[in-house]
Amino acid sequence: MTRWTTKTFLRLGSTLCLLGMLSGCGDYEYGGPGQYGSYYGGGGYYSSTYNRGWGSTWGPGWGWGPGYYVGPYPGRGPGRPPGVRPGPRPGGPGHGPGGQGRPNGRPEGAPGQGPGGGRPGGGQGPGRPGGGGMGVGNHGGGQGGRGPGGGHGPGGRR
Amino acid sequence: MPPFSRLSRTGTVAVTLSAALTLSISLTAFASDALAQTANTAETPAALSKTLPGKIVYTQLTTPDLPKAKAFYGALLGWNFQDRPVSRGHYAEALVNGHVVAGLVERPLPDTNNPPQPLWLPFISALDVPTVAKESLQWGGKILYRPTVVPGRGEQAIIADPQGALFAALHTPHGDRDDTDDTVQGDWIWHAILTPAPAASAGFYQKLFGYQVEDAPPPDTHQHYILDSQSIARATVNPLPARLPADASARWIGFVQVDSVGSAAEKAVQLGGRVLVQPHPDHQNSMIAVLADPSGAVFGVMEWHDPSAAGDAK
Repeated sequence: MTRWTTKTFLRLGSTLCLLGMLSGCGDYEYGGPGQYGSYYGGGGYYSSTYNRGWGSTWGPGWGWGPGYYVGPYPGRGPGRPPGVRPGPRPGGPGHGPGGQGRPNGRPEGAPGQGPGGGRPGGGQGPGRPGGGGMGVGNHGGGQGGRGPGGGHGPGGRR
Repeated sequence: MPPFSRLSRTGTVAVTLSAALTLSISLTAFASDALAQTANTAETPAALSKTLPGKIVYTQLTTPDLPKAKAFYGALLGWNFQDRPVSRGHYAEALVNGHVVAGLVERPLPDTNNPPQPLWLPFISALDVPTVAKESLQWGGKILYRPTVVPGRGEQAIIADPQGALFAALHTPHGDRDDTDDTVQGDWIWHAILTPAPAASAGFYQKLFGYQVEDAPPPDTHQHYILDSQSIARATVNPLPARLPADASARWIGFVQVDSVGSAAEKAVQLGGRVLVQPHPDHQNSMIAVLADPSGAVFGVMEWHDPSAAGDAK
């Protein structure tokens, strides 16, 4: 006789997920109690696919040093001190068309990658949709992903 | 940031069943809410505000050795720690001036030939985490940890963006810390994403969090962007450094404010860490360095000067 324990349900759920019989399983690589953490806040390593580093080549050897900046720009934060925060200012129309996706050799007709290469729009208005990434290799066009559309305008300084 | 509660056995079973069969979502929410209500809060209500979408409101380290991490960050950044009971493993919150600035979770590294690297994960505030998760899929992201109510914290999901950078979306019912708070030594002051496709990355995060995206001013005229929300700059989007391998994935890097980047770098080495990028000037007369803790988790330190006092910025 089957003893219905938590493990039993887990095995059943996992089996059904594998068989594609339950909805809601497929989009997640991890998550959910019993797998990678839950009540410690999702802490996990999420496989080396994502948690890989940049190897031992960190540093000036690959070009991070003087002249390569990542920090806050003048008048652009870290939001402080008051008085240099940008205020809202209407912008021009967004510039939408995106660049081409990197050829990646996907089969012809495969969907393009989502946001494509569109530059973020510059205006508050509904800019043209960004161009979809081509998403395919030399065989041409898959269905381009929709671009992020018009952005919001650059804020002015208060 | 409020603490976590240890789940009761009943709660664990209810949540487990819902995950396995996806049938009792409402029960899970009920159980989580009930637990959240019993949690104490570490933040004072006055320090919190409404939800500020796009603001990076929390950071979390996953590390294989929590005591070692505590010793390192405590000595280097002046953090104090508060252990929190969790259902599995160990969790501690790091505090500066009574504010929770980070969470540290201990997880053993898997025994594989190519183990993952411990990392710091930024949590970006969102009004609606399930919507963010859904849109991230639509725009090429992957959900690594599905939207889940974490008792005492709020609803969160962990996502990989299309270029491979990891981040979390978080909605906390208590609201986010107000922007009027001054940054202090030991608190996070800046975040940057380095990505092989800056425009696409900026568009992705804009789509998810409603950022205003600006072109960076000179001299960074190409492929550098600023992400603003609530009219405040939250982060920069940057191309990968020039000589990084072409197949490198994107990653977020957070910067902690310190008195002296040079001293912090020296001390990090003394404490068993490494200096990955030597101290050097960045925008606005700031100084930065990129460090790794003893387990290899990467973070930055930044020496920030008041621009009005420091004169013209770069």
